[in-house]
Amino acid sequence: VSCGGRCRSPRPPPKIGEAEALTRFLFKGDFSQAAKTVKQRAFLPEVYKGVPETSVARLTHSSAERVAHLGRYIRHPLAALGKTDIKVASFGALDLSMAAAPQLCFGEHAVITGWPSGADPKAVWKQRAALMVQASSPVELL
Amino acid sequence: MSRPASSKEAANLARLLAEAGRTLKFAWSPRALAFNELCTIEINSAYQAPASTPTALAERFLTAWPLDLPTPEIGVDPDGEISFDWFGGKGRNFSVSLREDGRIAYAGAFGGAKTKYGTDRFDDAIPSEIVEAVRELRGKV
Repeated sequence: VSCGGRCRSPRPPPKIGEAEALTRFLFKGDFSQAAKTVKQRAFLPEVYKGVPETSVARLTHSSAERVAHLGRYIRHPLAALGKTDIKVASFGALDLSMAAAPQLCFGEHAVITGWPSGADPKAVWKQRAALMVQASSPVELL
Repeated sequence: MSRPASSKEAANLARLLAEAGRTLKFAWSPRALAFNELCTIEINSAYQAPASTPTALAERFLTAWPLDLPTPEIGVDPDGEISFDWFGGKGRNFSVSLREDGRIAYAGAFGGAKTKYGTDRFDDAIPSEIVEAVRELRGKV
């Protein structure tokens, strides 16, 4: 999706604004169908190049068709079953940070970083994820 | 972790526990569905999980879970640990992750900034902090 710097005028992604919401695509097992609520595991980070991070999408201004398209292909061959949104403004209480992903000309991706480290950080990660679950919108099926 | 029973009383207790376990697993109930979900996870993990999934330990956790409390939803974390999830109203939630060495990591959000989290060990008994947290989530405190 990114131009990789090869296009005529490569642009860095725009900074994340306070009025934005960050979207997490949800796959099998990421949410409770009965409670219509996302589970903590959906927000738990994965370690990428030694750094724990959670990948999210920036779709505040995207059309429904674009959201559905990204949901189908973002983790191909797995298709997202739903999505949930978290307002950027609610991140102040989470003690986590977020950054626009560095790919040029691809403004639809961001990462949640700042996950605590340590010998066994799982419980602290789950605590942050629990707060994210509480702050996230009801699950929207795709 | 538990060892095979050696005395007559212990063997009798083990038989009673096994019978209770069969009743839990094969009755038509939320608890039986949770055992069924664990079974599905075990079958799937044999084909695709990166690390061994602690389903046997998770089965013991589910067996030890108090019957008067709601049955958790079962899942697998990205790192292969088995997760048990409970939900309250307004986004309140609590979750336990069980690693194959018996380490439990738990956390929950109970409205506003109130959270509880920590680690413990599962030794065939559910730590009291976890039971109390689920009671609080369901408004049973």
